[in-house]
Amino acid sequence: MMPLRLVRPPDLEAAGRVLAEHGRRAVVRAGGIDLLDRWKEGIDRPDVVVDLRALLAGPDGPGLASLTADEGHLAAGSLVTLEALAEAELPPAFAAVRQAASSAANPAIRRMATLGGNLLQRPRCWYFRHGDLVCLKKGGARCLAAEGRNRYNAVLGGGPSYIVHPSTLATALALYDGDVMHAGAEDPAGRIPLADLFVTPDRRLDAEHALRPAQILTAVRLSAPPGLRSGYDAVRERRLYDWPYVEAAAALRVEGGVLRDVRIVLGQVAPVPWRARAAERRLEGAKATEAAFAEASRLAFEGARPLSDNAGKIAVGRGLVRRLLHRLAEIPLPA
Amino acid sequence: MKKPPATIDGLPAWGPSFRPTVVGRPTDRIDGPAKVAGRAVYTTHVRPPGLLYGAIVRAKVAAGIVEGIDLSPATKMAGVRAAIPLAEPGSRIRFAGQDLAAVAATTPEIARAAAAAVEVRIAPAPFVVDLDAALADGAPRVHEANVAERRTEGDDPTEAAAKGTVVGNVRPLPAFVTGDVERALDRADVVFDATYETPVVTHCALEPHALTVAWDGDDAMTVWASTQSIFSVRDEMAEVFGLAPAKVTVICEHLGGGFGAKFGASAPGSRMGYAAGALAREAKAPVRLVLDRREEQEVTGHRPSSRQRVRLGATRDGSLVAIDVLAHGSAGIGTGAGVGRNAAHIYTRCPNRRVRAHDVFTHAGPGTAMRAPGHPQGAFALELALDELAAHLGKDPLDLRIAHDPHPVRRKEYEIGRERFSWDARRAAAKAAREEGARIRTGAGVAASIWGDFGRARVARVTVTVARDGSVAVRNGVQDIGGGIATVLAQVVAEVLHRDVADVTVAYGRSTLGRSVGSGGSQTTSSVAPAARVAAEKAKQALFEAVAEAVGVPAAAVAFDGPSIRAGNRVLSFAEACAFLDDDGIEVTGSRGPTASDLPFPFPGGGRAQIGGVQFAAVEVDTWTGEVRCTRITAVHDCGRVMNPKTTESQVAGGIMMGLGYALTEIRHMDPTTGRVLNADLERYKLPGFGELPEIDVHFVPVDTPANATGSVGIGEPATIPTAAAVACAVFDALGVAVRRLPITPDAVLAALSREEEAP
Amino acid sequence: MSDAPRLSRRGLFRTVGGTAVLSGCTREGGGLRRPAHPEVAGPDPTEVQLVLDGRRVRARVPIVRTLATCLTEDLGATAPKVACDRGACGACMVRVDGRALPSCSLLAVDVDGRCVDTAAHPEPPPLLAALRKAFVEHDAAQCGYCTSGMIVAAWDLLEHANARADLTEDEVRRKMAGNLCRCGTHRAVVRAVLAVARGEVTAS
Repeated sequence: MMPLRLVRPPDLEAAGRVLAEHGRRAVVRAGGIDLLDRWKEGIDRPDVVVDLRALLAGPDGPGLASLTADEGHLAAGSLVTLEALAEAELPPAFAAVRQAASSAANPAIRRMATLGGNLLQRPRCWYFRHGDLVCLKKGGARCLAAEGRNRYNAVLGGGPSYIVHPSTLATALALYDGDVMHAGAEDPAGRIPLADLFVTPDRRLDAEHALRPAQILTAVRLSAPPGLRSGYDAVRERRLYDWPYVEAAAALRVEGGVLRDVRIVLGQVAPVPWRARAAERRLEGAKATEAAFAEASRLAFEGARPLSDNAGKIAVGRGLVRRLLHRLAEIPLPA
Repeated sequence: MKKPPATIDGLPAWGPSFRPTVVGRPTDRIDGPAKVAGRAVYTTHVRPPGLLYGAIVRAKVAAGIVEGIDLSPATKMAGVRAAIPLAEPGSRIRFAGQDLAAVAATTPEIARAAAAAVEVRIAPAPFVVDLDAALADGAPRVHEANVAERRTEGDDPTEAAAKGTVVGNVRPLPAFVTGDVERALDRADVVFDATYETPVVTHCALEPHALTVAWDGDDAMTVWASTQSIFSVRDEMAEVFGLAPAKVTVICEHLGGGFGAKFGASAPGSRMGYAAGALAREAKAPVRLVLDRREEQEVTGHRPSSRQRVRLGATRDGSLVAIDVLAHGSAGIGTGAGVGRNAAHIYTRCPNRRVRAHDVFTHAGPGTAMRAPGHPQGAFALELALDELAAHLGKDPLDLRIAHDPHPVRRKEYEIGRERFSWDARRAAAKAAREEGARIRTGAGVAASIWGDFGRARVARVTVTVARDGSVAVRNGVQDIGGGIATVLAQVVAEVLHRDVADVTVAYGRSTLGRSVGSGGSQTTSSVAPAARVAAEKAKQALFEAVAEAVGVPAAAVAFDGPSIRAGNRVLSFAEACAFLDDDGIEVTGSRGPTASDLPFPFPGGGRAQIGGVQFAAVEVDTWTGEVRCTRITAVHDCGRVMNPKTTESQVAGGIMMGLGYALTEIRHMDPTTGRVLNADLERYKLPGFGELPEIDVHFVPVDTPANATGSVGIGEPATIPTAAAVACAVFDALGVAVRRLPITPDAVLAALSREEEAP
Repeated sequence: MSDAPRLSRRGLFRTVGGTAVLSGCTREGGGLRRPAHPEVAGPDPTEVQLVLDGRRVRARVPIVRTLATCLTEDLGATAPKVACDRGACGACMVRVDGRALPSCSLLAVDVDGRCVDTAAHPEPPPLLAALRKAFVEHDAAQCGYCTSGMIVAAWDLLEHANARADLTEDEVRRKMAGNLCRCGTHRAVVRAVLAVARGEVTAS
């Protein structure tokens, strides 16, 4: 009926070999949630599925499942679950990672979903997900969201596709400097900077990341300057368990009364986790005040170009960033 | 108030002096243990031997003409046992998702693959899925001729049939007019005029539409159906396949929700009954059809949208002189985009009232009755408009309502709610936060419901048996949608026969158990419970006669004495009494009679009791992010005599949750460029969840209604009518500016606030 | 790296590990063969063996068959319900090796050699038995279609709560958030779960 082979490789090297052999007809499966969704929708029907969970029983298992952290570093194997990240006692520098992980999806999905799968999941744009519709990312001529209903699409960095990156975890990870480790037949111990992992649709339409099909994401390593504090928050239409309408992560430290190493990342507003650089610049070296945060939250959406239905993300996102900055810098919120 | 009659259906009324011991007590639902242990078998899980799996091929375009359907790619697949067309060359496609063909196969995966393999050619045609586009000059026409109305037991039976002519894509519904609205508006000191919008929302029962058909020879079939009306399934299947109704056995042992979308063998937009029956006949094996979530969202019905222009006229001192509602809404290709009765029939101290609603046809699956058809839409617009007017006049919106609503029960409910909800304190706190421009605001709102007792006479036939060993059973072919009617059947019989609920065996959910009503229009309890009482009273009489004869006393000398039976000076246990019965025991059937005509508070049109309810909502709003949280709902309702407070309160709490979804999270998104539903799933279609749950305070006002022999009235629909309206009013109270479109999402809140800031 | 040893072993092997400990299994799958993890499964149907509600069972399934379909169609399970088929509603939730997962988002081949427990377990452990009682007493099932999944989620939440008796309403809401209900039983579900957490309702 439907030919499909599920390959359970003993180690990463074998996994890499299978992927290299089958090229684009093969996909990797980690938590397997998004993959099965896409299979059911008929938008992704590979011939070969390489089940990475089989690796857990082999020699590469401990590395893929390890999660370690200290004040300035965090290293997570790609098969670490969101649940494990959500329940880990991470230092304050990485609080945003834990908060993001614990608010993604729902408890049972977090139990299955992995760090790697979450970062590399495909967009949730409703045109992309509709099995009967052929959008730009599926080889069609146009981005259907651009001219259709785009309430949940990009206000920043869009074009020619206006997807938003679906990963809540990515929003938090983009706060940090770090590397993404990958394996595969060509380059068994490769790495790329985390900042280069996600790519905008003007560079690539068939995927949202820079990895090639035969490359397997194996770990993420983050670093943080001493004294950094971080946080994550989101506005959802359904309060618990929903794809965020807008989300934001921020990190900063207070040094001699001024803000340092300020990073602000917006999620669900752009095809990649979006660094709000103008807002960061406004706060870098500034005093943490209500007025500074109000101004920074306005600057966070500098350059936004809303489509027909999604201008609301800008107003909501500004309020969200402002609230998050207050909490992070411990400047009391007005009643 | 008129004095209620002393007897109903020949039985002493269960009036104010009646002291029940079982009825009215919080009682665990009898199907609870099976449900919590995962043992309850739903239609989706019935597996007769040789079962095949069906799937339906559906149109992927919203409009066009079918040019050809080739089933052969499907029939060639291994495991495919039957394939039938559901359309033919020349058939018009009017919505994406329309039936084209159906297949049956040995596994669900093969059935889906086979359905996908069927080749369909459709010449596409222009279509229109949004209201404005459908109203525009030169819009593609959805229907060429007048449209037959589809009505179900979920509709308000007192609503007049629509007779208007279709012009373009618009057809008027029957208007309500009293007084002279235009003249009153002309003369009013104050005229408030605003437009309100509600989205299409869907029923979203967690159990999808499901049907399994097994033929028993050529002239009989067994149908397992996920249905709100077992007998509507039986009658439809009998008609479609030319069978005697008695030859169609319909079973719905447990039903995973319906909310109005599960009447008849077919879904509103899909001929499931025919498809399953024809596939089963062709394959000579039972066939199960279960729709998936996309089909549920696209073809099985929805609550129509609405756009309502509300004009209110008032005197400067706060007397309403005119209520005028002009509404347009779309039920897709279907009918029924009305706006209920809040505007026409609650604030009747306003002398001039007019409601004109219109169906606007679009190329989308048909709408159908959904928990109080028209009412939640109409309540939202009118109640929010009343609050906006009240603010303009500087009046308390609760006082404004009480001043114009003569219904004595609702007036009492408003006062009860005012206390329980701390209305005055909450309003004062909201005002203070608003005036100081606080970031976090609170608000309080109130809204009303009107509904009728639509219990039906002589439809439900309930049979009670008493065996010689003392066992008692009751049976009726009603389905239990989750409202708890099976438990009520046991309670009523237990009450009359002085048994415990656990002593009464209940059989239900099968057409062979005696005719019954559908679970819609809040009619189940008041149709079935009185029938059960009539049957149980007959059984009691028969038992007493047998005892009298055996003991040698007149029948009048036999009576219950607690759980025992006293006959003259003998005291018998129930079992001892039953031992006097002959081998056949007692088997008696009862039905309820018509509603008394002299009801104290009639529903518009007369002949039915009117019931009232009010709900108060408290919200908290973050004015930075636009997030709205409903923190408390106080619900004060009337449903006659509450048969089982435990399940009734659950039903009200459930209606409130559904109303919160309508208020805050739910909207079906339709793509104007492809004609497809974009969020046909349970991720982007957002049912309210645990995060939306507020504190819920439910209070019932006991009302002694002579409408039937148990005094019971349904509550399913009224429980959800005022919720979204009350929340919208509370958000208005918090912000000082109204969000006039549902759902009230964070962006909508901030947009409303920024409009206010921009205003001069 | 003071936290490293603790963190590195946390969570993962219990949840996704192929060699997972049968920690939450209500009955040991004693004697069940450990899957050989064949290098390749499919395209032909493959046999899976599992312990379902304490019974050893087997089924021959196509690779793409979800666990939910296998449970209900091949094995006749009545508790899991497929309502969304995308892991979005929780109605199909079962426990795999003692943790609650949506069975529509797993393949049947994923549970080869595992323990799967549903709300219908014929010999319910005390928490499951208590939850059943509490759900009835608090009327937390209306139509009942979401109920099996709700109970499995609640079972998981209570079993893995750090301090069960101190569980707050807010935690219950968060942990139950993946379970949708259209009848609106949410309030009753929260009350029922808290009643068991606080020992107000027990199995006996």
